[in-house]
Amino acid sequence: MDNLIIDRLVKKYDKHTALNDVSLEITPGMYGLLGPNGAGKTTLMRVLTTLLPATEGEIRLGSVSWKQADDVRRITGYLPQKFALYKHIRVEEVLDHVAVLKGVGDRRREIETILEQVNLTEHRKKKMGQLSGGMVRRVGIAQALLGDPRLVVVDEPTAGLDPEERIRFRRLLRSLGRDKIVLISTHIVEDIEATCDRAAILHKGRLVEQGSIDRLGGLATGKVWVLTVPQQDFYEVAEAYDVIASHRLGDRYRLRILADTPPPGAVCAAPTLEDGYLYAMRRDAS
Amino acid sequence: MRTAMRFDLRFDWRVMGTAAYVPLIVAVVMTLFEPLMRGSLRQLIPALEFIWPLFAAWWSIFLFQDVLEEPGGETIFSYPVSRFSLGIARAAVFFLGYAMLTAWVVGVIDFSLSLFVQLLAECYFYAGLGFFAMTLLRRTGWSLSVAFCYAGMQILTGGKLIPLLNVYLFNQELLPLDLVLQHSLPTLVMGTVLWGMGQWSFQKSGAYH
Repeated sequence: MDNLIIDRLVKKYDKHTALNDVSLEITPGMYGLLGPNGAGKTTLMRVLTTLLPATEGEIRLGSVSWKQADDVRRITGYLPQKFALYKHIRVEEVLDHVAVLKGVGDRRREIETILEQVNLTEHRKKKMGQLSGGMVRRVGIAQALLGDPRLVVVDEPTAGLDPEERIRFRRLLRSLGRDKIVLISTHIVEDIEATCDRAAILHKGRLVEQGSIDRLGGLATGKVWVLTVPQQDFYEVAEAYDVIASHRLGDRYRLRILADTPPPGAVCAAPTLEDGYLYAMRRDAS
Repeated sequence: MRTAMRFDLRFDWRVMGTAAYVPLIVAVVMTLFEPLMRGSLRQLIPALEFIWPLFAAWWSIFLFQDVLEEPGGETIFSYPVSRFSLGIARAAVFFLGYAMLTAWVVGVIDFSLSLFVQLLAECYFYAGLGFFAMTLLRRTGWSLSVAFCYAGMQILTGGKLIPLLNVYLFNQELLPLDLVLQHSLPTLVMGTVLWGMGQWSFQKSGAYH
C-alpha cells in the first residue's frame, strides 16, 4: 500500500495562513492529528477531502495527485465533525443514497457488510433522528467507508459522545486501520492514544512534531513530575508551576507538573502522550 | 476521469419530507379556484399569476436544505459527484416536474397555450430566484422570505417598485401568444441569470458548518 505524501502544504484565507508549510508522510494504518482549536486540523482535513483547494504544495497517494480532485474523491471517505443529515430518513436509505452518489456497484451487499462492520444491522430501519449520538457517528463512519476508500478522514470523532459511546467508537476506529490510511483529527489526546500508532502535532497552522505515539510522549521525558501536596498548598503550587493534571486523594492533591527542573519533593514520572503534547505546545509557544 | 453526474430523485423527494407536497397541494387549490370563481378568467388569471409562479421557488429551496443548511452537508461535496449534478441539474429536474404541474393546472382551468407560456416563464424566474437565494443564504426561511418579499412588493406596487425586474403581466384576460412571448423574454433572461448565479454560488460554496 502507498503512503500519503503531503509536501510543503500551504493554505491561506486572504491574509490569514491556516496551514503553513506542512509536510507529512503517512503510512497505512491509524494516524492522528493533534492540536488545539484553530491549529489548522479541520482545514487540513478539508484540503485532504478536496473541499478546499490548497494554496501551495502537493499531496499524493500513489499515482493519485490532489491536483485531480475528481480522482481523489473516488479514493477518500470523510466524516466531518458535525454530521446530522437526513433526520427523517432511515439508516439503510441514507446509506443507499450515499452508495448511489459514490457509484457503488453492488450497493445492497456493500451496505450489508458495512452495517455489520459498524454494528448497526439491527438499527438499519431506524430514522436518523431516532439514533443516539454514538450511532449517528457510526452511520457517519459507514457512509465514509462505502466505496472502499483508500484514505478515510475523520474529524473530531468522539466530540459530543458520552464515555461509553466514546470507548465503543474508538474500538470501531481502531478496526479500520488494517488495510487503509485512517486519519483522525482531534484535540482529545485520549482518542489518539487509544486508536493511533503515529501522530503529528499542529499548532497555529505549523507542524510542531510528528512520529510514533511513544516518541511523542517521550518528548516530555525528564520533564514530568508528580507532587503530592496538602489541600491548602494546592493554589500556591499551581501558581508557581505548570500543573497539567490534578487528582484529589482524600485531603491531599496529587499534581502532575511539567517543568525542566524538579519541584521540591516531586518524583519524576513516565510521560504519556498528553505530557508530550503539552510539552511540545509549551515549547512551541515560547 | 470526470466527476460523474448522478441522481437519486426518489431520495431527494423523501428528504424534503412534507415540504415536498406543498406545490402539489397548491396545484390542487389552484384548480379549485375555477369552480369557485365560476370560470371567470378576469379573477382566475390574476389569482393564478400571483400565487402559482411563486411556489416554483419551493422545491428549488427545500431540495438543498440538507446539503446547505444542516451540519455535515459538506460530506456530500466530498463524494465523486459533480457540483453541477448536485446543484443546477437537480433543481432543473424538479423544475421540469413543476412545469408539468403547471401544464396540468392550466389544462384544468382553461387550456390556453399563452397562459401556460406566461406562467411557465414566471415559474422559471421564481425557481431560479429560489435556487440563487438558497445557495447564497443557505437558510430555507430566509430564501422563502426573499421570494415572498419580491412577490409581495411587485404585486402591491403593480410592478412599479423595480419595473426593470418585474416579471408580472397583470393581465385579466388571455393575451395573444406573441405578446406573451415578447413580455416573457426579459423574464426568461432574468431567470437564466438567477439560475446561473445560483450555480456559481453553489460551485464556490466553501463556508462549511
